[in-house]
Amino acid sequence: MSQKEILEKLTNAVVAGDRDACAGLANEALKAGVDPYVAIMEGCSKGMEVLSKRYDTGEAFVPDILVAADAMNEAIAILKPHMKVEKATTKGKVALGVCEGDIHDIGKNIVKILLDAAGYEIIDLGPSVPVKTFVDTVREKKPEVLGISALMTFTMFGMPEVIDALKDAQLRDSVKVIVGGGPISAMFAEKIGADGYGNNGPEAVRLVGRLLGEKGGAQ
Amino acid sequence: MIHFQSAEMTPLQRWRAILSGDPVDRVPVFPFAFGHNAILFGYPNLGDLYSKPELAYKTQIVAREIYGWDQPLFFWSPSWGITEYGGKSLFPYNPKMMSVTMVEPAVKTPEDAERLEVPDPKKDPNMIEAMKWMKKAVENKEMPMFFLSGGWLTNLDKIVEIQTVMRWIKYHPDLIKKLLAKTVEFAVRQTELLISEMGADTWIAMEATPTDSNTLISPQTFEQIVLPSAIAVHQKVLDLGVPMWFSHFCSNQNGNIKAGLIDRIPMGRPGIIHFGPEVDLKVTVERFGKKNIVIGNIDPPSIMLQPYEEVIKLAKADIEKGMYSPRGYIMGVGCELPPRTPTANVYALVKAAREFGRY
Ligand code: B12
Repeated sequence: MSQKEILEKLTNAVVAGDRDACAGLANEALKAGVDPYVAIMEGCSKGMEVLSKRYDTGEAFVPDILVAADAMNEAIAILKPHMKVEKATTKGKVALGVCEGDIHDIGKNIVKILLDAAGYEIIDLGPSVPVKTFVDTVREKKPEVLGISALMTFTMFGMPEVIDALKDAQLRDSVKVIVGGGPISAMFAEKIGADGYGNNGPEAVRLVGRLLGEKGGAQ
Repeated sequence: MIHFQSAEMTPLQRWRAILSGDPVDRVPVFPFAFGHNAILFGYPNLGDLYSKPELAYKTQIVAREIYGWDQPLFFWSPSWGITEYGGKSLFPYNPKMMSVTMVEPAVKTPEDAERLEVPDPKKDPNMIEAMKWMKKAVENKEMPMFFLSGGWLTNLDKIVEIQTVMRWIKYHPDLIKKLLAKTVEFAVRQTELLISEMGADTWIAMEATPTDSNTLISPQTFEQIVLPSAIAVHQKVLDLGVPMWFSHFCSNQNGNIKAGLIDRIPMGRPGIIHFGPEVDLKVTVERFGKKNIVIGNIDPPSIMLQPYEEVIKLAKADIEKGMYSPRGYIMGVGCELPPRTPTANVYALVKAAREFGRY
């Protein structure tokens, strides 16, 4: 199989959520001398992007995305140990969490899967994260980006609280804050002084790329 | 056209008239307010509301009096379908929480799922307490009321972590079906208990189904996995003598509607149908209005965040779409009223019904 063929098949296997095929193709890629980094980025990661677009158009659903992520991780587990060290370092660190009181975490998890697939290191703070935990994470783990999700009007006002607390802790300039989730809009994001808003997973990935690019951090 | 100029109907009169297909003076209003009622009483959080049926009872009655809405009483077991099965729950004592949360699932592995036993609701002290207040409601002629039931993926996500549910749909569909059958059996047992304590004509079975929506699952998954148990639970509860179901088919159900899947669920005569704000009320009226009472679905976050005048407009638009639905219409909010909705905006719903919803 040519490199192109292997990558295409890997993409399709991720989209189909076929764990066995993913594992087989990852081994095949290594045997054929495909750069593992290329296999992850242009094979696996692309599959997640395809699926996530299908979710937005109503052609794929949450079970499809989760199962595809499992299949992708199967391939990554095989490919990653063979990656060259400088490529194995990530494109940047993103901390993700859902506002305090909000247990809706499916959207946040999908954003996490896609950012992970796109090569970012993720610090997952989980659902219902207190303001203080967001601030402590920024101070101690120094992520380049902090992503906050909220699905309820009840909890979305935790977002400006986090931004204010970051300012109080003199940490606001050290991190880009991005927000998303059902009731959030670009207007709300601007009003609370966030650095960006993403309407869905692929948008979140583009947004992080853009923000880190601006900082000169990532390619 | 009938005019009730001087004699305004009471909320309960309106509710019963709609059920029996009799004329009403104006469009009834169900704001789906629960958490909001505790805020109205000055509680700093919703913890007591969700854990103490007495408070749920009291706040619903007074809130209805204050606002003049028509919503009947809703009841649930504070065990919430979580602790009966052996899971752990957290009541919303944190002021930022909006509902009961499952913090440890009863089922983590496929083996747990196979072993899971259908609980006996008689052994659930929270159910006993809830029934005490339901009986009180019967004494005070507050009927019919609603009791939260169901045999859906939304009930399953109180037993198994939701992302596991989503994965098992793909990896172990038969296991999901088995678990759903257990939730159906539990709903049947609760129904039998309620009937033995207060008859079948004092209450209506209700359900709310976000996890079964097309926001998360495909119409195919709905048809293959959810629909059989949905039909089973509806039919069994109706066969036991409960007159009808009130179904809050939550969030985006457009795929399920288009595929004709909702039509296959027996609702009773009439059923009461309520979709999330993603579904156009016009479609609901056209598709389901002949056999069912339909409830409107104004977007909940807009009611909380928009100014008063805008909420009046949204309510008016809901009335215009639903008011002449053949088997009856109730103006409503598309999911729970956000608890911290400003008082004036809640009142705007009733105000709009009085102004634009007269028959
Ligand atoms: C599934 C669901 C649930 C599940 C959640 C399970 C879980 N672990 O997540 C369950 C059944 C438990 C649940 C419970 C409740 N829910 Co609910 N739920 C939903 C539902 C149907 C779907 C949410 C979802 O998962 N969507 C799918 C994901 C993939 O989409 P998403 O979250 O929007 O994420 C995408 C984008 O927004 C974006 N994104 C998300 N986060 C981020 C972050 C960043 C940084 C970026 C850039 C992008 C981004 O990318 C994601 C991928 O594309 C919504 C309805 C809706 N239309 O959203 C209601 C909804 C969110 N729920 C609602 C309510 C009211 C509740 C309850 C309070 C009901 C109750 N009274 O019991 C409880 C609260 C429970 C609690 N303890 O807090 C309301 C909230 C309304 C409001 N007040 O604002 C909604 C909107 C329904 C409605 N129409 O009213 N719910």
